[in-house]
Amino acid sequence: MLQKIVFLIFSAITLGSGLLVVTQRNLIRAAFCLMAALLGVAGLFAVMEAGFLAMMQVFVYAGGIAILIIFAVMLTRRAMDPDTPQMNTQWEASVGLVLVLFILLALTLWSDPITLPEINVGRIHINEITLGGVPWPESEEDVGADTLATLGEALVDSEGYVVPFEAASVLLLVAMVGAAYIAFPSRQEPQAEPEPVGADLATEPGGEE
Amino acid sequence: MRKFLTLIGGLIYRLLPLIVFGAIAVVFLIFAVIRLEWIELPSVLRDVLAAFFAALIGALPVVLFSWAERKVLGRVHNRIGPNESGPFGIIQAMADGIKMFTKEDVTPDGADRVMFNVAPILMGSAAFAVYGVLPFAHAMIGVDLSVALLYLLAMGSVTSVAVLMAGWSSNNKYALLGAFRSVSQLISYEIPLALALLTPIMLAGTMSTVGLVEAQEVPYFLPLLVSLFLFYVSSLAETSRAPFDILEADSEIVAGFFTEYSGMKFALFFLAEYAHMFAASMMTVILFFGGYRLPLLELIVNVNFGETFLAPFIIISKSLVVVFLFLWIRSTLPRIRLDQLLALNWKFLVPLSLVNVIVVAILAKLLEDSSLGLRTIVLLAANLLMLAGAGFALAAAGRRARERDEISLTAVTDAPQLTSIH
Amino acid sequence: MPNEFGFIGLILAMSVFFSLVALVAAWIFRPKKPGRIKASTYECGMETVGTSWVQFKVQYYIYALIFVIFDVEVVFLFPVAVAFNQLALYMVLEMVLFIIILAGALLYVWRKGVLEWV
Repeated sequence: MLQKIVFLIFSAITLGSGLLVVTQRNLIRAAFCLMAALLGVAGLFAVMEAGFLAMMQVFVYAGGIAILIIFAVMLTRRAMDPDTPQMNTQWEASVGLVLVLFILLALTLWSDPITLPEINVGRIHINEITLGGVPWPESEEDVGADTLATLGEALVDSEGYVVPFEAASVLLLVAMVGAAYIAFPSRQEPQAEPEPVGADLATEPGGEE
Repeated sequence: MRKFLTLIGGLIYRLLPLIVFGAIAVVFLIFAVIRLEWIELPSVLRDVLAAFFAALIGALPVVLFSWAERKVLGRVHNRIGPNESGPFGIIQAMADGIKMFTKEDVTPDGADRVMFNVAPILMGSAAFAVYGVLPFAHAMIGVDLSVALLYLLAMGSVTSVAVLMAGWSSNNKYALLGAFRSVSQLISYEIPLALALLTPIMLAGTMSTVGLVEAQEVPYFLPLLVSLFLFYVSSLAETSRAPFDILEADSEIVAGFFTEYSGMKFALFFLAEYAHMFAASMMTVILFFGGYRLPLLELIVNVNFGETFLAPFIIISKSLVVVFLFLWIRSTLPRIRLDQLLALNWKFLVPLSLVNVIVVAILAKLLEDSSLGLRTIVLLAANLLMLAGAGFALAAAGRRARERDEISLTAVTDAPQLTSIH
Repeated sequence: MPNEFGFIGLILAMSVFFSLVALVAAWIFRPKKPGRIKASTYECGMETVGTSWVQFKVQYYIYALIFVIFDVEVVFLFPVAVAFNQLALYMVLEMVLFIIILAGALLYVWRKGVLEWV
C-alpha cells in the first residue's frame, strides 16, 4: 500500500515535470524541469529496489546529461528570448496523434485481455479482436540476492554480454572522436607552430659568438 | 543578587566548551540509542527518528569546523584565531549563526524566484543526506545501503546541479560565470573520484560502507596508495577547498555563484560546504584507513573494535585528523587557476587513475590466491612505482613547459640585439 | 524497512525539512526592508552594463561532454568491480581492454588540442 502511494508520488513528479518541460516558455526553467523529471525516474527505480539503476540515473542523467543540456541552452542566445511561441501551429493534430498512440499502447500492454466485439453493420464485418493480455516474461532461474555482482559478472562473461560491453567502449570512443572533430574541425597540432620560430632566433646569438 | 548572577554567568562562560562538545556528544548518543535499539521503539518511529538525528549530525560539522578552521589558520599564520566569543572563541560558529539569522535576505531584481529559493535547499539536502550511509560503528548507521558509494557520487552530482541553479537564478553575469566555472570544476573532478573508488571496491567486493570497513583486514592505504592520493585530491576539488577554491576567492570573482545570496540562504551554502567536507573526510577514513576499526591492531589482538563502544571515537578521531589535513593544506598551498586546475585533472589525474585501475585489477587478480602480506607488499610496490612514474612525467612536462617559455623569452629579448649588431 | 531506499527517502525528507525550517525561522527573525538599490544586481559597486548574459566559451561545453563520456564508462565499470572476486583472469583482461580503449580516446582528444583552455 505504501509502495503504491510512493509510486504514485514519483510518477506524478515525473509526469508533471515532463509536462512542465514542454509548456514552459523560459528555456532554462524547462531544462531544470527536465532534470526534475529524471530525478523522478530515479525515484521510480528506487521504489522498484533497483538501487544501482537509481543511483546511476542520478549520477549520469541528472548530474551529467542534464547539465550538458543546460550548458548548451545557456550558450545560445535563445535562453534570453522568451517571446518565441512555445508550441508550433500544428499542436492540436500532434496531441491527437499522441493520444491515439497512447491508447493503442495502453491497450496492448494491459494485463487483462480486452476483446472488442464483432461488428456486423450492413456489409461491414469486423472480426472479434483481442487486445492486451501480453504476459510479462519471467526468467526461470532465480536471480539471487546480489544482483549487482551478477550483473557485473554477466557483463564480462564470454557467454554473457562481453561483446556489447566492448562495443559500448568503442561507441564511446567514436562519440569522443566525433565530438572533437565537430568542435575543432581543422585544428592543427597546436605545439607544432611556435617552436621552430623561437628555436631559430635562439640559436643565432650562439652562432654570433 | 547581582553578584550571584555574575557568578552564574561566569560559570556558564567557563563551561561553554564543555556545553558545546557535550551537545554534540548528546546528539551522537541519541543516535546510538535509537539505532542500537537500547530502548524499544516501533520500527517506523525508529527509522524516522534515526533519519532526523542522522541529518542533525550533518548539521553539526559547521559548528565545530568553522571555529576550528579559523583557529588552525590563525595558528599557522602565527596569530591567535578567534578568542572573543566564549573561551577559546568556541561559540564563534553560534555567533556567526545568529548573525546570519538576522541579516536581511535580499532577492535581486529579475531573479528567478523559484530557482533562487530552491538552490540552497537542494544543496543543503544533498550535503546532509550523505550522513545516512556513514557508519559510526558496526550497527550505528542510518541504513547500510548496498550501493552507498554510488549514492555518494550521486549526491555530489546533485551539488553541481544546485550550483548551476544558484548561479543562473541570480541574474548576475558574474554569478553565472562563477557557476559555470564551479560546475566545470565539480564535474571534472568526479571522474578521478569515481575511478579511484573502483579500486577499494575491487578489493572488498562490495559497495556498502560497512562492508568496506569489515573487509579491510589490512587498511587499504597500504595496497592502494595512489587511490588514496587521487581520492583525496578529488575530494579537495569537490568540496571547493584550497588549493581549488578559485571560485570562492574574494579577489577573483567576489563570491562566485553565491554572490547574490545573503542571510540564511548563504548560511545554508556555508553549512553544506562544511558538511560535505566532513563527509569527504569520513569517506577517506572508511575507505582507506579502516573506518571504525583498528585493522593493524586487530591483526595482533583478536578483538573486533567495530563491535565495542570505542568505535565512534575511533572513526571520529581519524576523521578529525583528515579534516586537519584539509585545513593544513588550505593554509599552505597557493590557489591554482581554473585552466591549470582543469589541465591537472584531465591530463594528470584521469590518466593516472585509469592506469591505477588497470594495474590494481591485474595484480589483484594474479595474486588472488596468495597470502595477504604478499598481496599488500606487491600492490604497495606497484603503487610506489606508479607514483614515481607520475612524478617523472610531471617533472618532464614541467621541464618542457619551462623550455618552451625560455625559448619564447629569449626570442623576444634577442631580436632587438640582432638589429643593433648588424 | 524492507526497501533500503525507504530510509534514504526519509533522510532526504529530513534534510529538506531542516533547510526549510532554517529558512522559515530566518524569515521570521530578519528585517524586511526591500530597497531599489539594495535589490539591484551586484557588479562590484557599479551600475550594471548590458544584459546579464555574456557569450561563454564553448570550452565549458566540451569539458561537460568529455565528462559525460567518462561518466558512462565509470558506470559500466562499477558492476564489474563489485563482481571482481568472482571473475576469471580473462574477464579482468576484458575490463582492462575497455579501459584502454577509452584511454586511447582521451589520448586522441588530448593530442587534438581539445583540452586546451583557449
